[in-house]
Amino acid sequence: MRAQLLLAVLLLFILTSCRKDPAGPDQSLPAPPVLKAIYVLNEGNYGDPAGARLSLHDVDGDTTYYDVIEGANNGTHLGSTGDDLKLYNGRAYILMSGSENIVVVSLVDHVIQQSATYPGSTPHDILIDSVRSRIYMTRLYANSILILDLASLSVLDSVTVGANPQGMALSGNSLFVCNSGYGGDRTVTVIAVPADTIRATLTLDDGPTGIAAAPDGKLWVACTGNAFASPPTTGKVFVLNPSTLAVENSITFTENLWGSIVIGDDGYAYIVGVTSGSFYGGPIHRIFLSTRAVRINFVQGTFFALAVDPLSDEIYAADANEFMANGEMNVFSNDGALMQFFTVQRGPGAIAFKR
Amino acid sequence: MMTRVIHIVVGILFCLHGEGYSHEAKHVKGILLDAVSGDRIPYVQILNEKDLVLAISDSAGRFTLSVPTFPVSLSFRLDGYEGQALLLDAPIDTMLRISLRPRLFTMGEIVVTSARLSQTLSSSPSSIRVISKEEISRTSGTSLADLLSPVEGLFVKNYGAGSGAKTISQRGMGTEHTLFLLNGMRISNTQNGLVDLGLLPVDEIDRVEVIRGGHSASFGADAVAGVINIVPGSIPAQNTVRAASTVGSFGYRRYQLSGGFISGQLGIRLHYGQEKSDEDFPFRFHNGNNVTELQRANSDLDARFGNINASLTLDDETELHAFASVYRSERGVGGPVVGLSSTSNARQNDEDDVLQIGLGSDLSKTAHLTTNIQIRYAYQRYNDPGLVVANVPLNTYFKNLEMRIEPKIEVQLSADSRLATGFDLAHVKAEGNSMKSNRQRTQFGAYMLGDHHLRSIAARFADIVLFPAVRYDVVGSDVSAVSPQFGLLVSFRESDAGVLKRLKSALRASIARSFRSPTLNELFFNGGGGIGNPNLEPERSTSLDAGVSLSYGLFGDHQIQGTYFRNDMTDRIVWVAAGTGAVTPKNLRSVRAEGFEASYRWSLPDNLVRLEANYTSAESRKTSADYPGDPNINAQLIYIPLEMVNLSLSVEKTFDNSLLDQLGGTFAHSFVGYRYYTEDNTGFLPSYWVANMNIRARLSFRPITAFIKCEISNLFNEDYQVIIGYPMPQRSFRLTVGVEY
Repeated sequence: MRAQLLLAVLLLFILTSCRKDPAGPDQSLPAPPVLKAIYVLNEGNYGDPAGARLSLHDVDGDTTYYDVIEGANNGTHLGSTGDDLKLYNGRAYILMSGSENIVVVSLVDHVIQQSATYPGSTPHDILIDSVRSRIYMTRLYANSILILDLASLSVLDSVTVGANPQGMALSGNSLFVCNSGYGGDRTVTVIAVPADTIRATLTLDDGPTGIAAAPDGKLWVACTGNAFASPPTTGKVFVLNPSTLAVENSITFTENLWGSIVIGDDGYAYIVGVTSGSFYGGPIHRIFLSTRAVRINFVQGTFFALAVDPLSDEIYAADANEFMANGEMNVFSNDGALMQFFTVQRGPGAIAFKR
Repeated sequence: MMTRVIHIVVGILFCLHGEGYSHEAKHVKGILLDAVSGDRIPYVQILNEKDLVLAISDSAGRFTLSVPTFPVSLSFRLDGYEGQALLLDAPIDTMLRISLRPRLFTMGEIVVTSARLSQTLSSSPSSIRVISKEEISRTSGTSLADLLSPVEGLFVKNYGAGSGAKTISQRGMGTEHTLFLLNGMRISNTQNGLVDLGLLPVDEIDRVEVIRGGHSASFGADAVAGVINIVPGSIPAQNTVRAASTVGSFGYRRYQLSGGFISGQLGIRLHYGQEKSDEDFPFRFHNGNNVTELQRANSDLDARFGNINASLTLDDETELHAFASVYRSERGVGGPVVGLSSTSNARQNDEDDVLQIGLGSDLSKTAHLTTNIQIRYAYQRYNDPGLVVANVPLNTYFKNLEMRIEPKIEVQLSADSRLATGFDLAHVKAEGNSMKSNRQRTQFGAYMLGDHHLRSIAARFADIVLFPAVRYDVVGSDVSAVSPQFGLLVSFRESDAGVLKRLKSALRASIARSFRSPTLNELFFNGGGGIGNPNLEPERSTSLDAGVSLSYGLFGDHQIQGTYFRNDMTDRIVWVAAGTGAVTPKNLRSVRAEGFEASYRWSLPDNLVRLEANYTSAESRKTSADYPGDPNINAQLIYIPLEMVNLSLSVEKTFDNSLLDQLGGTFAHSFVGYRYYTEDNTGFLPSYWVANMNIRARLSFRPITAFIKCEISNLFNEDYQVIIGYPMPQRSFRLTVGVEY
């Protein structure tokens, strides 16, 4: 009897001494209103229903706030795999590809004002058309784009494009959609808006992924190349005339590109290369717009997302730390010098500036 | 050793062709049977009055010994059974049938058939857990995953119910670090190193042997964290037919038909089953404080399976075994639930066929040869019409055809020493569209192991046994490994003194070098952003475990076991970026897994009441950088719970001469501690408790027996996930009814 009692006590001891769950992160406090802010949409881990997180960096106060949406909305999350972020008219439009939803929040208090889900849409990028009050959304695995009403977020139309569409740009009445095919497509679809009809399909090279408009109106398209092609192809950048749809110039690289391209007001385009040994980006190359002179490895590192501050021309480049830890935002001057850095969250993939 | 004169059960056997056993009058032949189950008992020692081993029963429980003079006093000894004595006054012409009664101590009653050197639980230096047929009948659930889930040291990674994949993690190591055997022969998947436990039906499993720790010295590649051997249903002692049907929640239905037939020296067991389930279970999706009730989609399962088990006694020294199984399934792959509209249309088809032939023969009174051959066909196709890259929807498949031969000789060198030696030779052909071209690979491994009793050292207090082993393996053209192992077992003699008289205790320890061979995918994958690395080296590990076991017979039987384990692995294969938008595997990581397993079992005679509890703690940490500046050194690996607890209470009563033959029930409650799902340990899934219970009864309408079993899973409606994004069903029910003739 004594032996059984001792064993019962031992059992109880074992049960009650099991480790308690670690304390989760403190419920974030709402971020205060910020005049000059850098918003960073962090993807989160694949498969995490609450992985998408918004970070906010107060430029003047040099303070970073995390879980901005959770802090302002009583713990409500954005969703899974945050892929794109656009700011317009005092609001942030946030796209999650995993949970296939858009969340619209106020840039003042970050309270959720609208949300909509698009089942089966496999979205990846969004572009706001302020002239026509629309949002264009790529459907990554459905080879099409959805056209949404900006006010209601309802679906207005759908247009079939090429394989795995990603980057988009508007020029006048034409929407240019890059069909990456993850390196397996070579086309850019040109859609006449608001008619939503195909105007043309341009053939460039393997993997058109990113597109940006230069101050002169020309469109610069970054093609990743295809390492799996036989023979393998490397990255290229094309300069398109959006009016004539002609390819006016091209630049060939000796290695693949990540696909991101941004153009500042400083006369340069910045693109991300690929780092051997990383799956999440590469160094920054710089192209002088007027002469198309390239400076390879303008900034060394492994950068997952890239943006240029429209006011200061500073370059914001996010390092995803291989998705193994929180990411890091690096701020470089126009001549490539590191000016400052701050920690963001897991997988910083989209950057937007509030001024 | 307990000896007493027994009641001799002498039967007269006639062989199939009406021939009586004719043999020299001074030869004595017999067969040893389990007095409870009727199964034949191998490896029983037959000794004379001077305690010298005259013979050992073979794998079919038979023995032959030469007796120079009569009368002769024989004794029969095997751990786990009560010893018996027999006095033969004169030669006999008939075959002896000796029944041995199992001891109440379950620790020793079961022979570990997968061990290269035949042994029982109590005679092994390794920590072994055997799930017996009786325990299987008490457990809730229908798959191998359900059986293994409550075992200490094991964690089942469950990607949702029904069709969701279920893989195992043992002692904090990866899924690919546990070697799976079927009837002692390898069935771990050569293509991807995985075994989906959800696809192995429990109906026709006779027992499962879990051998913990590194055992490459016996089994070769992949036996790093341990080995799990599945033993299919054995051939019954008499003709029998059984039919059962199960229905349950979420559209679950299952039908089984099995039969056993004995004709002379031939015994056959047949089984066919079909399992279907919609698995459209409701679950709660949480977003902060918002909770939405959703329904799982695309998680259905449709499976058909069958097997044949046959045994033929060719002559007094030779027996032929054959086993064949076929498995076909189609299932939906629901994918992670990441939002209100998560939908996946992915589908998976699996085919798995196994043919095994084994021949066992006595070379002499003390040497036994077994040769086993296996042919295995495995096929898997995965397609996802919603995942389209460059206009090509994802549709991958692989096919493996493997042939294997494993001869082994087991020799009793002396009363104190045994030796086993043999080799494994296997050749696999692999094709599939995830590799650039079809592949072939040959594997060869030769081993030698044994045990030796140190009688002269501390013989008064303990029996000390040493277990040296070594194996050399060659896998393909580039991988080779030498795997030594050394084990020690100290079994203390039962004391004569008072309260300690009923205490049995033992210390065990084992240290081993083991390895895991890269899979075909890791070597040759090509597609979908992945590139195999043909230059991969095997993963290497050094494992150590040391433990104590106690058993005590007072107000029932009490057994306590505790084991410390540690496993240091280097060159662990990790998929990393190849710099071109692809990933490739590399030998990068070092891992240390360390922990403790404890178990307690208490039972009353005839299993009237049975209480089991076990506890596992496991820390499994990365001890090297995967890339320059890796901040996660010393972080716990993902999906390795730091703690687990399992509790189980069974009650079972057998009635004599009554319509109600048996009535029983089991309540089980399991705790899984928190586990991280991010490499930097910032994200974790909370701990949870899950309870299951069942009530079962057997009704006797002689000669027909009817049985019924009611199961409730997740009794308290726990809302939990094992893997992030994969909700588990809430409370569910199953009802099984069947008849047996």
